[in-house]
Amino acid sequence: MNRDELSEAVKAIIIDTVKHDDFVMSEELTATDVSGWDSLSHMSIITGIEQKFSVKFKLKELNKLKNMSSLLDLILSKMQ
Amino acid sequence: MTDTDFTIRHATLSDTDFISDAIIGAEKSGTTRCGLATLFGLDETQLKTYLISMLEEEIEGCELSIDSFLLAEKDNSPVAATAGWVENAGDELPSNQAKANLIGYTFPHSNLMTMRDNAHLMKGLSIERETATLQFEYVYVAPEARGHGLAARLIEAHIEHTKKTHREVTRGQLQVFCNNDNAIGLYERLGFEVKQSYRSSEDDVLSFLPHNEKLLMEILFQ
Repeated sequence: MNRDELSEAVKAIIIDTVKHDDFVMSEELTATDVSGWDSLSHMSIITGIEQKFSVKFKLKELNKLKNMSSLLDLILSKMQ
Repeated sequence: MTDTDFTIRHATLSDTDFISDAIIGAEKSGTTRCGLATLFGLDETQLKTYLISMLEEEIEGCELSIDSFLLAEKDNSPVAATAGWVENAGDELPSNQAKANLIGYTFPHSNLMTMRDNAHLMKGLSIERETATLQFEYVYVAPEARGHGLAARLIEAHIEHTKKTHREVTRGQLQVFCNNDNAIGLYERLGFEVKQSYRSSEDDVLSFLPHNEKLLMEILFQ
């Protein structure tokens, strides 16, 4: 799976969680750019990503995430 | 027992047992329903174990950070606690993400799935925390220590501490369920005013949470 395909798959998980697609997927995207991405949906999104890509994040890794770019980097590093 | 018998201090890792009880007590807001347990399908014993684990992670900048808590103690035993932190200070994560990461990392997967099924109950009750404000959470006084003004002393101590450490912060905010008349009265006497109210229209919310309506209250620092 390349980065663009991964980005689309993550976007689908976000849409499934927040129940809308009223945001522009970009490397700079953060939770505050997406209406409804609160603490509960954050948990669902992270859990959804872990399930979808069969990866498990460490707490330190999650707390270092700054934006979509760092999330995609982290997932790709786990999938290698 | 006089009010001077109590001292205020910052919490340490040796206080996690009391703080976990304080979190559960405060979550109940005078009822028997602790949202952190009911929404995730946990009993309170399980929740307490996970709360201690999360506090021991020493993540900063949220309501589950050991650094956020001030305690009141008497004879070296804690009897009251309140969390307070500056939202999104420096390069810290927003507190809702820090808390979600902690819970997602600590709670069993099956309980996260239970929360996912119950998430609709929180629709309308999720209140965004404003950047660069002092946020309060989990104001709790043990039953045997009530009537000594400890909640007020803890809140005022947080404000005075924040004035020294974050001079740019000029406001404090807290969220309280509408059933908690005593707490709302206390906050009003301290100078908090209602900024907005939030309501869940879900029928079964009262099976999980203390009330279906919450207030966002704010105080401007003197």
